Amino acid sequence: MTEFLEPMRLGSPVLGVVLPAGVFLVSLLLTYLLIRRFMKGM
Amino acid sequence: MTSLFAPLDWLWLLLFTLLMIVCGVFFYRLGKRSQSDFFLAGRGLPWWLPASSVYATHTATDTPIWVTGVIYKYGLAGLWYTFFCAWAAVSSFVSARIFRRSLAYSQAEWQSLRFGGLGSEMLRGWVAGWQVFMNMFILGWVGIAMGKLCNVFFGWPLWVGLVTFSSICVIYVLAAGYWGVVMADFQQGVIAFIMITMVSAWGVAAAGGPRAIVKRLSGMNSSCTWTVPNLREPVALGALRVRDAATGQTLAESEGAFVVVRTQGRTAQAAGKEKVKAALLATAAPGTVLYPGPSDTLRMGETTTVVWAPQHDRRLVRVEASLDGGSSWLPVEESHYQGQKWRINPLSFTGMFRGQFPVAWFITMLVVALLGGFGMGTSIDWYTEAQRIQSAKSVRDASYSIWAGTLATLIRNTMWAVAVLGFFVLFPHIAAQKDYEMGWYVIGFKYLPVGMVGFFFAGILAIHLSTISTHLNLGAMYATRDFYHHYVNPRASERRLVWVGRIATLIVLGGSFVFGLIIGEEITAWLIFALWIMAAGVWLPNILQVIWWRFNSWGYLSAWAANLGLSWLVVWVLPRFGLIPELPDYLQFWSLMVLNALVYVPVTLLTKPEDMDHLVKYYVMSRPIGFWGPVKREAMRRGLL
Repeated sequence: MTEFLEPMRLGSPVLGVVLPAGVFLVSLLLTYLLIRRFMKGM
Repeated sequence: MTSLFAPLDWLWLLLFTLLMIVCGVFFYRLGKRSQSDFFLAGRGLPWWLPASSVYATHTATDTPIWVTGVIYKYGLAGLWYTFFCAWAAVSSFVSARIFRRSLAYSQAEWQSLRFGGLGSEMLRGWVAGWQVFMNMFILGWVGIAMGKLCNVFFGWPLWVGLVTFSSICVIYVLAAGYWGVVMADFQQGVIAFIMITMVSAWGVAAAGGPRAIVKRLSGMNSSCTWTVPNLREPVALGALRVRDAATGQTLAESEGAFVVVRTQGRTAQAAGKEKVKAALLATAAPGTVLYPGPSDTLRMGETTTVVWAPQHDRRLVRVEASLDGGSSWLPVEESHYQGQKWRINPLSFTGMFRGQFPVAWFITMLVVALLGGFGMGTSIDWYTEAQRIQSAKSVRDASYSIWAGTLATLIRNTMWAVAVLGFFVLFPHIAAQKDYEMGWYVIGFKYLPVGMVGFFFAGILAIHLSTISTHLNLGAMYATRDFYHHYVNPRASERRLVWVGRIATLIVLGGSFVFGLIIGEEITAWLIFALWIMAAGVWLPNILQVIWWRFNSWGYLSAWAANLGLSWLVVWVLPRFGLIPELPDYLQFWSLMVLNALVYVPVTLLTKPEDMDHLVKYYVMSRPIGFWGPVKREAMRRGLL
């Protein structure tokens, strides 16, 4: 398996910051919305 | 992990992991309120929450492994292997609605509403026990798939990946029960869907884009895999030939004998792989066997790739090998397409009964998937879906939830499939299943830029935790609701039941570690057998119990008992002793279905029907479809309808 794993990175390194950060923020927002909707009054 | 992960990757992994755990734990105050909250989120969820849970749960660490395996081997036709989940499309409008109306917590409880008397109690105990075992087993195989993944990519011992991530998951399952599971599932489902889309896009881009994939497939030579048989002689001379499946005319043959030896040697294998890759991409005259050739050495028992230049793309051929200088010929592939273009045709049938994609298999799959939606338990996934159906706030929400969740699952499969075609174009020479089935993971670790690799692993963790959390909570529900509450302490307080649920969660977790270590690396074989046990012999009884009033608990129990014995016999024991041939999977299904019917149909007809009062109560509550005439008339006579 190691023969297939020699890294051949495709795409700009900036993507490694921007895309995960975007997904993280979306997840954070969704978590907040879930809590606000279902924990109301708790 | 050091070589694959940069500090930025670690950061993303840590942040996403914390977010997932916190999201689950946050609902602690809702989960602890009652048994109904701990296991069904109080039956008040809008459809999109159980839908995302259906999708997230059915995306596990082992899922991309087996989806990659079937697509790499069968091309886009392999997608049909994943089409079994379409039972949910029919179930949404039939069994899901009937089940939701019954208000049963679990499938085991539903059995006691549908059937009555001693048989019903035996059935509830049996189904509950089976489900506690089954959830441990599923957790074991999903957990060991994570262990295998971490072993392959990071070099960790198998048990580390198995124990570590399930132990992280149990934090929020213990704290918030199903509330934690379903909320974390929603978030994990979103993370996983985005991650799968991105990694698949990277896979397609790495192969040069969709057009390049099609073009490169069109230009490749033909191939099939061959496991070289073990011989008594230490050395033999081999030859290959390719014949037209219809006329028997020889289309290609070896230009000289190759050597087959019994010795072990890694160097020879590595060199062989490079030769296979070169042969697949070579320009050669039609009719030439390109690998193995006169200068090649194969090892007995090894699986290799045979390559030849096609005469006609997509013509069906029979590949044969000789290991005695051409005196006798062994089948390598019975019915196989030339070229590689067939991989992009999802309906590339290889005959009615022959080859890797026969029509008979396809019809069987459609019957199992579509008619299965009329029953309950016709697929192994039903039991998790049943929990999601009951957690929806209405019958309509229950319907929408499994329909939408399954649709997302099927879309996910197609994204994987396209990326796996890209992987095949990049690495067409992998013969060993254990290597090529890791292809989709290879794409992520190999081609993603720094930072994205950490997000990729966080996404893998999301699909893993969503499946683990579901089965921990589901196994605990059967132990709590159907054993403890029903048999041990029917007057237990809600607070006590929640605590019993937590203890049961820990027991299920411990059991999963044991099963995971037993399963080890033989994931696929165990998975397939578990599916046959669940699906084949009891498939029809699972439909009959929903649609036929006369089917009783003794019939259902006898079907289960017979299935346990017969499935072992038909799948493993009799073929091992040579008493019956090893049957293709679709024939195993039909044989088990018929053999089991010979047991449960007479048992049903020779025993009494269920008590009419019990049936009327069930009918009025659940409003099943099918053959319920006498019960419906009785309910109407009593003024209940």
